[in-house]
Amino acid sequence: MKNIDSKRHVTGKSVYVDDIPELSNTLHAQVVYSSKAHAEIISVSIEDDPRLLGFITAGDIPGENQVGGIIPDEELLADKITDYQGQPIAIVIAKTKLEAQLLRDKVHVEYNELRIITDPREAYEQNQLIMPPRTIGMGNIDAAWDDCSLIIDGKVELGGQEHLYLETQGVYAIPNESGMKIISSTQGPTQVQKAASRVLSLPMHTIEVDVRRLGGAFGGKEDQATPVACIAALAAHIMKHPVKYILDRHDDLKSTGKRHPYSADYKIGMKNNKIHAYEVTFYQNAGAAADLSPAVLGRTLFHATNSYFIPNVKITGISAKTNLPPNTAFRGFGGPQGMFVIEAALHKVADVMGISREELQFHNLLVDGDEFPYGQQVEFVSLSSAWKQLIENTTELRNAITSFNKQSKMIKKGWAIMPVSFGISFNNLVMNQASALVNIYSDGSVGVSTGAIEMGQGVNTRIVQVVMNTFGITEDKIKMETTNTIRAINTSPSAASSTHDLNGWATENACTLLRNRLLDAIEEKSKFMEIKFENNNILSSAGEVLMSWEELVQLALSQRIDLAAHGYYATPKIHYDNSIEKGHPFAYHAFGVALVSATVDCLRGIYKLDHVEIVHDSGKMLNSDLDLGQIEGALVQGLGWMLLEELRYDEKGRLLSNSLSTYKVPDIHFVPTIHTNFIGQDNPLGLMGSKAVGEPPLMYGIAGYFAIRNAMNSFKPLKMPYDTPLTPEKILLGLWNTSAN
Amino acid sequence: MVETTTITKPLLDVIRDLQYKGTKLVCREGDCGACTVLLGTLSDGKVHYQTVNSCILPVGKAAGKHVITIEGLLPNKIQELLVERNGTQCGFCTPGFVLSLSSAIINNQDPLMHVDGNICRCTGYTSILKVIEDLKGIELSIDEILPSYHPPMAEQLHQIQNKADSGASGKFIAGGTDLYVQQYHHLVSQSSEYTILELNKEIRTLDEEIHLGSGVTMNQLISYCKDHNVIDTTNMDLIASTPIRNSATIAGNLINASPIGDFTIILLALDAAIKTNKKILKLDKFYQGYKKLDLGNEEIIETILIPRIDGQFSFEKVSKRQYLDIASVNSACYIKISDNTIQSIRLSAGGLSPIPLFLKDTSNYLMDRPITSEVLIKALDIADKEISPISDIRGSAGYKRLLLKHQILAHFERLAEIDPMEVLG
Repeated sequence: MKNIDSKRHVTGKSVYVDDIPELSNTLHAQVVYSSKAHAEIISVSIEDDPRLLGFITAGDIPGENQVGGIIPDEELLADKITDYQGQPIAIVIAKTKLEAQLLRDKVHVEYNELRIITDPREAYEQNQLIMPPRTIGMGNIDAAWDDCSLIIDGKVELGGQEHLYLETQGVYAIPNESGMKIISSTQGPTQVQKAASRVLSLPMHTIEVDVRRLGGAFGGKEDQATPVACIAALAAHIMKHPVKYILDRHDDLKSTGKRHPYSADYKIGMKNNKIHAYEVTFYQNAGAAADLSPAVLGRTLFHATNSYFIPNVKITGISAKTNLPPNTAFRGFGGPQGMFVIEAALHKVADVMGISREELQFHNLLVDGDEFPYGQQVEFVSLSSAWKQLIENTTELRNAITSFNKQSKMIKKGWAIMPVSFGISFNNLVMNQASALVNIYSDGSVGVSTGAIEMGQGVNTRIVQVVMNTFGITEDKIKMETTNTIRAINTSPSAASSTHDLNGWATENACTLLRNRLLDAIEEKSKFMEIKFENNNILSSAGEVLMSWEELVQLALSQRIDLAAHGYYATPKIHYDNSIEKGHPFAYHAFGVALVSATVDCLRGIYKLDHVEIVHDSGKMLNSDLDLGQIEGALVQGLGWMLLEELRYDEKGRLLSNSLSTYKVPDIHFVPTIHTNFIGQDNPLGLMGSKAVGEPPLMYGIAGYFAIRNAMNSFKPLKMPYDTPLTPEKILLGLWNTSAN
Repeated sequence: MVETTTITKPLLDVIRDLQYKGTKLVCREGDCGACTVLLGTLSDGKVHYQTVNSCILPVGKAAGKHVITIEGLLPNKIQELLVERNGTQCGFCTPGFVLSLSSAIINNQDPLMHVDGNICRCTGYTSILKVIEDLKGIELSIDEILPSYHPPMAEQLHQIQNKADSGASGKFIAGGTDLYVQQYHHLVSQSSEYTILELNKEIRTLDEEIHLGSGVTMNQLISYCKDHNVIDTTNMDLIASTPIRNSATIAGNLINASPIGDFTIILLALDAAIKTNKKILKLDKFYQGYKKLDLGNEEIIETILIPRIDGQFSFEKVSKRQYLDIASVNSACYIKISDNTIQSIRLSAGGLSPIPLFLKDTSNYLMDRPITSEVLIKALDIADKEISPISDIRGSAGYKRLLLKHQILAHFERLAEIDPMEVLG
């Protein structure tokens, strides 16, 4: 089934925050950002100007100047100290967005500069930490090294990644008689509601947050939309006018956090071709405030062994506080960084052993019953069968690469495989709950409200499928309402690939309640073994039409049966004990393998991604259109992170890749051909037997890095560090001039 | 509809203020295509439609022209295919893709090349590539995409054309594709400083020269080179994107004085000159320092003169992303070879000095020499001494030095069939 929004999208009729018609008394806010990465703020002032309607600084905040989610360490407006370039200091309000932008030139901020740290290892040395270091592990790492036949160590540097959701951050706040309505481009309406309540010192029930859809998010609007929304809410509250605040791209790029850059040290021990011991320390560049960094780090630790069973493991994570914008959630949520390091380690081991990395990967794949370092035993593993299918599908491709390389001197090809095991559930137990409200109107049409945010991933389409399936009605009778904190309360953000599982199950529960009530209306139901809801009709077990859906709704109404239901869902089975770092944190795991092939032009140091073959476990697939779109989109984002997208800050903490002309994301010419094969069986904890698919395929992109490296290696043996992204510059210097690196 | 507006206001802002919200603001630098619209220009009694990035196009440039946004298209097959192939997810880029693909159909050109300026962050493009394949296999006419206008649009444009007011005198904006990226706030707030003129878009072929009017766009020149077999246009699709090349002028590229301007490098190798209202000057004398030109205040480029071309040409460009990216290093070579001996050569390179560079010493050295490994090794050495790259967002100095050497060899590989491995050892 196609995305229910797609027909509106292709005609330009879909409405996003900035497209909502403005009330005539609407004002526009723009923010003055810190131009220093670490400084005392001596004074903030603005010149008089007839266009200036309002000017707000930290002292004007009626409630708490605090928007930190996990840890209360993030001011909405910097008061005495600024901790990163791009930190909001003041709000300028004018009649138009352009005027507000121009008025920012009239604002003067006096600073007293302090020492700037941008490197996570330096921050660690200076004891600048977001939280105490965290370690998980199993087996006996110290004793294990003695049993190893080969021990390798190394260092890895991983770049960050800008989300580049096409729709920039934005919000429209409208004060009303009881409080405030906030129309926000957020993945977390409840987070916005909570933070606005805190900042305005108003109870949560006075603040209504409403979200139609987002023009992309990818994690960048999970926590980072909150301060943006609070700025407009604060301005609207003070000005007593509707206030719109839409960021221009350059402001968005410089002021928001991104995927975390990491630095890591590893040591890996082999017992023949089995990984026997693995010790790794991750230095996470968290930026200036916690944001979601502790949770992101948690997933790095949990996914540090990727798809492999390793009996002796010690994994340490350090969340380092630096003077960069607070880094945040991004599709994969720390998992990609965790996985890349073990893949780099295996690549180096394979190099030393003189075999292919793929041989090592295959020999160490997880099988049913294997334990992860966090204590959960893995179930229903489909990795080995997926791997075998992938190898079979790519025999010709791999052979062709081998023979091509024999006859070609300056152009070389390479391939690499990436297996992925990704845990599905929020790491934070309490977030694994959701609710839904399903209303059946007297004409049989149905309205559904959930906590899920539609951001292109198609969650609303899957929820419509749940309703269609439970009521046996067609798509045209079902409408997905906006996500609104009045109709769906205390929601978790749409994240962790879990949105459709949680909200879909909640919807299914609400629909089941309603279906049972509707059945009560049918007097002669006892005559039938079973009553079926199909094709907008109610059928007897023999298939005879008893009445239409609309007639049943009318009948129930006449019998005074409640046709609205609230459904609730909390993920069963999951638990985790933080004190011993053991438990069963994930409802299930998503699995798959992918092979990426690429061609490198060794003269110019440029490359072309040729083909990606994927075998992906989608459980009992609910929607092949959406699953394929998630896989292809995530893969290309992963390839972009590995090869193309280069975030650069200077030593003063200034973002150098601060525009779309300096930060390049994949375009249509960048992408390889992609062929996806689906495998999988009924998944008891997934929505209608399916598996979550939003994040796992991003990590297939890691194979792109190694495919290009392998191609380079067939030109000449490399002594190149494992740094990402692997840009044309690193390729050319790696091939020809390692000293200039 | 619009009663008054400032001529420098971007077309996008005017469209959105008119409550047509299907056209989106994303980057304001012509780097994503979400603001793509069709601009119809009357010429030879017909309306010719091209895509433009409305975020960096001053509305004054749309005077006397027909603007079509997503709202102005008929419900069409392109849209159906995008739905059918799941070519839309969050939807924010989708109207731009629809307009770019429409332009390919209207102009009967390759749809793939028409979306080279459109970024999608959700789909990974694979579904959109399927739409493009589908489009190549079906017959789709302009009447199925654009409504019929009454009276016909050509007639309507003819009526209003003379009414288009170029505004007061002042600095004039050519394509604006780089100006708006650099100075948006200045351009919109200080509108009275600027004027927008209809520039001469003519390309004239003379016996000894080709004359480009100052309004000639990048795409015009590339098409001209292809149609008249002037020079090899390999790699010219790597320059900017279709909508930018539709707006950006060659003269603007020269005046911009970017050390890395692609057409500047091409024209340096071709030994082009500029003719202003005051003088004629060879391009390699035009650049005096970083963004410093030999050009007076009242002086404007009228014509670009390209000498007759009877040699071979090659253009190289390496950037982080292959398409629609600014080069780390670009270079061009114009050469005449006879009996494996170089009769004449002009090498130029960008991104390696404060100005777009004619590699004079290297070119001089190579003149009249045979093409051997020894000669090329020496030439690479000389080239390395002629340049002074700095480390920046486009790459380290060392990388740029290496890249120039390899690009020079790539030119000789293409033009003289040398094996670069033999030179590099």
